[in-house]
Amino acid sequence: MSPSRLVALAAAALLGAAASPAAAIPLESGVAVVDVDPTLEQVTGWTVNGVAHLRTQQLFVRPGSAPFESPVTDLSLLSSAASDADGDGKEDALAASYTDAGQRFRLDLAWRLAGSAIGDPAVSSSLTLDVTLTALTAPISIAFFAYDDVDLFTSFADDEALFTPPGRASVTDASGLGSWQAEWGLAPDAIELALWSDTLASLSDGGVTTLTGATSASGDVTVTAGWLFALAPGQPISFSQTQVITVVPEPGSLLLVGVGLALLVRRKGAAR
Amino acid sequence: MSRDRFDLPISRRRFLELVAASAAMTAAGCDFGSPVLPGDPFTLGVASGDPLADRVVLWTRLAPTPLAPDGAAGMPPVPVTVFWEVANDEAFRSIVRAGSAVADPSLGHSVHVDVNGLAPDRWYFYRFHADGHVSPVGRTRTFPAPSAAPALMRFASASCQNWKSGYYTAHHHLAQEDLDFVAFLGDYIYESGVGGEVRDHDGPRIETLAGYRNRYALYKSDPNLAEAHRRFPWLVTWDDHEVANNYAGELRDENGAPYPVPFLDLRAWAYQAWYENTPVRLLPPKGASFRIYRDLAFGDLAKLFVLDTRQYRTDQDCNDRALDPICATFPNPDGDMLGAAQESWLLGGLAASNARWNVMAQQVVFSPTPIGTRLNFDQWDGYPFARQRIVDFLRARPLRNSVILTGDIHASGVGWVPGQTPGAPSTFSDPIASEFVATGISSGGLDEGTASLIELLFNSYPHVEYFEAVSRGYVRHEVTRDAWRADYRFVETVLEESSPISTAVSFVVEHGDPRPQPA
Repeated sequence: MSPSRLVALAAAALLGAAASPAAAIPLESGVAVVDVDPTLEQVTGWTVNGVAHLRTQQLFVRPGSAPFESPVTDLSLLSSAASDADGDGKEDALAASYTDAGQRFRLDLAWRLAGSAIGDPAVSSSLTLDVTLTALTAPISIAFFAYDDVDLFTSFADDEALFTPPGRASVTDASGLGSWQAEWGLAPDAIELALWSDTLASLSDGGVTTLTGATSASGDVTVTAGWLFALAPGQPISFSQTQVITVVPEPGSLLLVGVGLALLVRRKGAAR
Repeated sequence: MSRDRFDLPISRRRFLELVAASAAMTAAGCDFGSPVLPGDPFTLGVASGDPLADRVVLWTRLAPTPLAPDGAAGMPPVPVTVFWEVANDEAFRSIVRAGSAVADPSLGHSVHVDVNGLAPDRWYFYRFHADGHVSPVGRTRTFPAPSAAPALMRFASASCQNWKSGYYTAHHHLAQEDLDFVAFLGDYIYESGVGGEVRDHDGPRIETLAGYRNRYALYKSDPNLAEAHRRFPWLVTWDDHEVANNYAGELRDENGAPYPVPFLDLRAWAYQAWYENTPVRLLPPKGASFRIYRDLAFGDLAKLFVLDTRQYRTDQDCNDRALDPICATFPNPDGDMLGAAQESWLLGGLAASNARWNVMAQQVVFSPTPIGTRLNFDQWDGYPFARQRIVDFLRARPLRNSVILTGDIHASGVGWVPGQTPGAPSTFSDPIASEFVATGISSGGLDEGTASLIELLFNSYPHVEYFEAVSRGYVRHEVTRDAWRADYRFVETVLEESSPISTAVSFVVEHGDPRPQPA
């Protein structure tokens, strides 16, 4: 507020005389941290050794003859539980189960984070997602989409993405110092590598999304894979996606480590 | 693996060897993957923010020529590798974490490193390296674990640091306080053009991304501000001047001069520049929307809800013309301050909180402060339905010790929020929360004559314990399990480069009673 306004207000005075929140669950393993919110934002801010690389992963489903796909988080959350899979005292895994309003199918998701140890010069992290879809009462078709917005080293607009059939994708940063790779255990039926705004708009526009099939893109890119399943009761379909972020030690860092190790070895040798 | 993270530090010997090797190679002219910069890139200093029990965000922005007209701060348009280190000691003999980040031109060559694996409730030191240059050594800390029961939390709340209005004499003293963190409540920069009372802005009213970037660079060139950042982690939110005076959501101030660009473009640039220059645990904005509201826990002693009362608000009622009589459309039942999502998040978070003190760090005055028959429509007074929803919530819930921290008005205030406002202020009753309003670090106040009149008015209200509209400074808070003490620290002047400081008044809120009492 400007002083003149306060003055004006003072003059005027004299003249007048008169809901439950969603919460992201941080998973942590070594140098890696990621927030998973099973009710609102899904996966956000995958940070490896202090630097964010994956902005978000969002999953969408379109069951039966629904006229559009919806975020998985719009489904009814049956349960969610975080756990410490690697026993380091910090939660690094999260399982969540969903069903649709008609209870026609069940979706089980499980994320597992692994990160290199603190102090390890080789910095990397993996995030595994297990997906299981189960028809509950009758056969049902389900379209499932996995949308990954990779912003290596936090920055966007400088990434290159490439899809390699049958089920691999990669993104590299313009700096050349980091990469993201994803591999799906079940080859996608459709793929789209495109600018984030294009794909997200398509997934959120209230209509049926058909992925474009584009297998390379540059800029502020996202990688979206799609599957179409015909589910029968008692015959669940499961598959996994494993994402790996690798921070490439730049030549200077490698050389520094090498020189440091050499000095260390020499010093130890001299001490003997 | 159950070992504590601190069982795995980088050894002192190894680090010394790496540094020695680095220095030798730098001296030999070796360069690895990064361009040679035209000068010291750490002219904007270092900062940290948003501490959690095991992590804290470290910040710097490479700027060898901070005020280069193109907004690039003298940096080449290529990514630059920045190394960071966190140590137990200021001499960096005991390094606990280290790594690298990429300062990218698309984000103004800023670096945000969210260092995890730290021990709770502990002070650390940090620094950056780039192109053979070493940054100043910053000092930061982690918060106690959420399950811990700390006995004491000390911090300062501050706001409104208009460069043109004065020197940051308050920051000089703030940096020497014994604090756990600084809560900055908005108006970190001002978007206005030249014409300073004491010192001047770098250019006309901001209308470009480069303009916002350079304005931050100008402000951060102040050594007192830089020192306050270097000494403590900050919790930062914004108010209006980080974008444009009294903007509301997607609308500019209709009483100000129009902009030559769509307002949402301007907002997007402003939000990006804010991100680039602020130590926050956020991903950079894409476009003109940017969620910055968030919460942090200081053990079980305090839960801090950092709010955004600008981005989601509806337009100020009555054309935001406080001098005019209240218009026929007021109060607008649809008038909203936080937006539905943020309000739901806040009330849900408050409902779930078991903290001893629940703190809303926000911008504009919450308590009703009518000025005669007139209102300041930019404050919560202009959004009575939205305020009432929060008041009703606080009245209905057995929430302990709600405290509201406020900035914005370049004045100091202490009071309690009335749960009942049946008529004139003299009838206000049922205290449900405490409110501490921090004056500006430098932004202009009132002349003494006008101030004394408005002080007389506000101090006549039963829920206002103190109001002062002349002095500049900050509020130092000391929070224990039994009481919240607020010391109003005022400098004598911002018109000179140095000034003494003193505590003008002190108030205490006892656990369970939101009415502040003179200490």
